[in-house]
Amino acid sequence: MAKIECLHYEAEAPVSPGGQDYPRALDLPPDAGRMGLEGKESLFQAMAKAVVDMDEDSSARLSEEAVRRRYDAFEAIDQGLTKGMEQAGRLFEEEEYFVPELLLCADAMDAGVEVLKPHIKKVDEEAKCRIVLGVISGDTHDIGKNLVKLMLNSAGFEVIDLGRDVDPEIFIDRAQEAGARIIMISSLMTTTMEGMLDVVKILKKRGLRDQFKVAVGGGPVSQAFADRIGADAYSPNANHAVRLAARLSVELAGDGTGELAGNL
Amino acid sequence: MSLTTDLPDLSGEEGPRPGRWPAVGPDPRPDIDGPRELTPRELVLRAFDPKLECRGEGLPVGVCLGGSWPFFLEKVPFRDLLADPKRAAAIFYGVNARVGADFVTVGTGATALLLQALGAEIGYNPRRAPSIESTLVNSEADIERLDVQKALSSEGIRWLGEVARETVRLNAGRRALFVSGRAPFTLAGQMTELEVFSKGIYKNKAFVERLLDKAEQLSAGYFEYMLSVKGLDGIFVADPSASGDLLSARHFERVALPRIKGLLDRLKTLGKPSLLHICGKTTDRLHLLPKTGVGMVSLDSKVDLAKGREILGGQLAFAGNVHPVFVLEDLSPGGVAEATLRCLGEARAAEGGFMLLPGCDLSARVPEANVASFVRVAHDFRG
Repeated sequence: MAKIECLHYEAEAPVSPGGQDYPRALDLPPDAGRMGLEGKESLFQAMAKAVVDMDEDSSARLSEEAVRRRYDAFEAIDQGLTKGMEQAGRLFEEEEYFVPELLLCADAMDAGVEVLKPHIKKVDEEAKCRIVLGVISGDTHDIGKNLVKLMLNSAGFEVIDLGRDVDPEIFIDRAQEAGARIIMISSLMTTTMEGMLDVVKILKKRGLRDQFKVAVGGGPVSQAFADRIGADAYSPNANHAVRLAARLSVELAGDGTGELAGNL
Repeated sequence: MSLTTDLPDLSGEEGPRPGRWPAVGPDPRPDIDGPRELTPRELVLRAFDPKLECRGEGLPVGVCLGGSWPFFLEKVPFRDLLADPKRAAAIFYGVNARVGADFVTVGTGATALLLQALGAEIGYNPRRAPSIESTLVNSEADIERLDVQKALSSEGIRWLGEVARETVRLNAGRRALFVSGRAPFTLAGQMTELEVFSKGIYKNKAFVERLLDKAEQLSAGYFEYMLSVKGLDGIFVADPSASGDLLSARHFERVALPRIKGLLDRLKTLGKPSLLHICGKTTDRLHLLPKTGVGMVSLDSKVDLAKGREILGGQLAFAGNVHPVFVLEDLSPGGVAEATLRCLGEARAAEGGFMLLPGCDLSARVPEANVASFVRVAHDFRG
């Protein structure tokens, strides 16, 4: 049976054939938040594990414990819940987790964030890196885009979600309005992916090409396709999209505009 | 000779051209098919037997997994055809005949029209097939309200039946005509939000199963209705959401596979061959597919055909998988021919049990000359 590593835990992979339907990397006692999790690091690791386990109740309960202990709420999110989401993203990339699992991990993270959010000290929202994200026109499949959004949000990026079936001009207009310099475009269909080329063409036509980074992704898209249409980058999956956004952000920062790479 | 009163008479012209109504009836490009003993229909049906080797008469080939490319090519919006099923059939069949496809599907727009009949809003866009714009099911109570029988007697479904009848008439038994429609798993995901459905696999199994029950009724009822049209040869079931890009093999086996099997079991009495297409990565679940009862599997471009042959060989026939964008759209006709030959080599096509298909649906921008080149490679193949 395959093993996965969840931070310092090593546990059974949740994809074991014939295994229980609701995989758990390690069973937590009902009051795990009050038992055996005395140090801050232990609690944060348990929070991460709750996210990987898709366990909303444990995530919320452990987050309450973090509040009770007066730990910094932002640190609890960053070092606990977000670490869990990063691990979930890696499992997705390794094809141990799929769409349902990743969605449920995000729900578990949200359950913890809801508890911790009121206790976060003021965050400088202006410092976040903004990304415009959407599904190209003609395509109404948005599950991949939604996964990218939740992974980017988890990593601290500010995502302006344009939804699905978005005309090429809208990507550019909204990016300009929002001051976002990264445009991420998704397509799940071979019949619509060519529309991504139009975004690049319009940017060139308006003399804006150098001001934006364009990244593409989705089921039928590839690096070769990204190269052919003149996109700056391609991401094969939602977890990779976070690293990609960080890289693009650093590249933009390198041109003197000072973009930040989320929490990365 | 003009076959329908509202189509322009092409008699006396050199032949159909893109942008003109395609000629139907006698094959306008017999050189593409070439001389051979088997008809295109026979060639396709023979490929369903994985144990029959290629006889050196060429390979069967299909062009459209979805139904939109002929309408894109002829620059006719799908919506304009809803009042005229004969015109829809003439365009769709005519384009397939013109490029020399042996395998032709009937049922474009079926998913949208079925869900529209259940109450969903449909969007029409000249660059794509009709799309579902609203969520039909938000709760278990919504599932109970869905009236499958009413949907199956709707105007949209009658339109599909008329298109099928006209296509059969135009075909006159020459090519293999398969009814296309969605498998229950994908159909259920389209009835509600795919995210809700995905989470429900873990968190609300009862909801998922009830929705799948309804989707299976709808899918089976649709196929039964369409197959009541005499002259249709088989069943083309598309289950794009059952992909390894979305769902683990474990959940595929538990949730999606039994519904494909349930659908095909119900249609078994009709004695028609069946072809299943799942989008994206499927290598990890190919070994499960013989359990569905399907006769042939269409593999997406993401699947290694050599691996597909290794897993399926001898058990199931398979089809695929020339990339619809990177090959059929991007390359020249010569490049398409080279890539298609490579594909046939990877599939070990000479061993039989194989049909050439694109790896997924064609976009509006795929040139007809490239498709003709793709078809010609299959027809010229001698093993």
